[in-house]
Amino acid sequence: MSKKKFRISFFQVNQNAITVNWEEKISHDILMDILRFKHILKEKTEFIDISHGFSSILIQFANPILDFDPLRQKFESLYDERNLVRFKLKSKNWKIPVCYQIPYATDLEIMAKQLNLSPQKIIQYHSKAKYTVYFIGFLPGFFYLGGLNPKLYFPRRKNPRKLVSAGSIGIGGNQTGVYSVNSPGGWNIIGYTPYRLFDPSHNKKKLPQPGDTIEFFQIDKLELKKYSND
Amino acid sequence: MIEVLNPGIYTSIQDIGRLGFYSNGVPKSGYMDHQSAQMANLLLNNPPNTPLLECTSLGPILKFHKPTFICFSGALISPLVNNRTEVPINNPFKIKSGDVLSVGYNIIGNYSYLAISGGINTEPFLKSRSMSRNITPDFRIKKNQFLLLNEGKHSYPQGVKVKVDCQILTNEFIEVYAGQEFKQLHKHQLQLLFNREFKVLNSSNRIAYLIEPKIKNDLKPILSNPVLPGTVQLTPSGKLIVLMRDCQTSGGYPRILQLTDEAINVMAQKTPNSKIKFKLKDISDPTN
Repeated sequence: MSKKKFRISFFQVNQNAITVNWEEKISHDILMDILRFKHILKEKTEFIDISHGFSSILIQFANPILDFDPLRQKFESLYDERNLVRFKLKSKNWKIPVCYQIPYATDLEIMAKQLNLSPQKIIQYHSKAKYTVYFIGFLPGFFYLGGLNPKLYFPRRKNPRKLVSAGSIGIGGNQTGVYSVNSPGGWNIIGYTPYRLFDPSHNKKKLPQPGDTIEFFQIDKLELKKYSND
Repeated sequence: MIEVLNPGIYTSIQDIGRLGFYSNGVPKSGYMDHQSAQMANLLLNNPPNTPLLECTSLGPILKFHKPTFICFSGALISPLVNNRTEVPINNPFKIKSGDVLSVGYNIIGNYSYLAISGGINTEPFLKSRSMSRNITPDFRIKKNQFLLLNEGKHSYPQGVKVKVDCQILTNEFIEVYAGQEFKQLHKHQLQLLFNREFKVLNSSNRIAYLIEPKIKNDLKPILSNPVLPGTVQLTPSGKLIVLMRDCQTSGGYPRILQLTDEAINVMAQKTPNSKIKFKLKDISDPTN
């Protein structure tokens, strides 16, 4: 656990929300600092919602912020004391089944051709890596993952698809991820997982959290049912 | 019970929205115009978070299978009961069993709210009854659907003139705070933002309102970080996006402005082709 000191800044967004901001950088150290500070804020402050992105925490309060300065000072001192608080992230590793076959892997062939790699090699690179969950955003249950092999960096499609099915695994730029729900989307689709990563009726279902790691493993399309968690 | 004879263009059940699930990527949703929706509920003595019907453009045709009271607020409309009796807006109105209510077209404003005594009874998803894509089974009401009602009050003072401030429908000024990337804007961009009129585009919906003209932009995209309803994003091609209630929880475009809570309600009531002007407010000014 890094206990490095970061320069953070506070920003009042509107009548009842503020952000805490780190240097704009995708970094595992920043993620850990964000998670540690979120943990402290959950214990020591009151709010109706707390969420984060790559380098920023958003805190929404029930009541309007009457005076930002004292609030900022309070949060600053909580941040300075963060290393005195016992916090150990219980990071879990998740193994997510992926079928990299047709008809699911619609763009695997094109990617292979343009990257000058065999489809097998792409599958290997994709399923050999360990990805870190940075945060959930864009769609309900959509994980922003870090750790894609640079050999698989591949531009988004020029014409995004109107509908990408829930469970589709895509690559867009330097990121990979799972479409957690049906959505329009511009990423190239290389596979499908029967493992549901969002379910609005079972909020208590155990799902990956920021700070957890994810590994994809290859399954055959005949095994899709076996690996479903519905 | 209410039977949906015709669902209208986009009629949905909404309450105050989903709070506490932002970290799961779940949009807030809820009433587009909180002020008008709360007014409709308030006039029926419904609690503030009561689910009601949000109508836009062309509203639904509904058949009531039990007597109740209703109240409209928000956009100016001229609803009819049984094709003859006009229903006044901002006034509780008595409905008999078998009455057919035609909401009709909006005259001024974009969203009208139909509150029903006691509220609509649907299953909550993530602690809210607001219809939302990917969260609730439907994102708008459907033809032939039956909507269950909660027990409400049995009498209301009728014919009492309620004076509702209709500024929300006609005000062209949208009050904004500086957004997180506001400081990166150049002088000429600021001049355009605060001196020009902007036009609401056709493609606007519950997720976002797009406005024109474009603003020449060389700001770099940001890392994906949290956004809120009311956040104004500037895309690399210079498009301005005003995020609304169903917006996603994070985004990668510079957040140049943030609408005040009241301004989101005003913005919600703008129909396509309406003109708006931004007015900058200082968030640290205690008189705000």
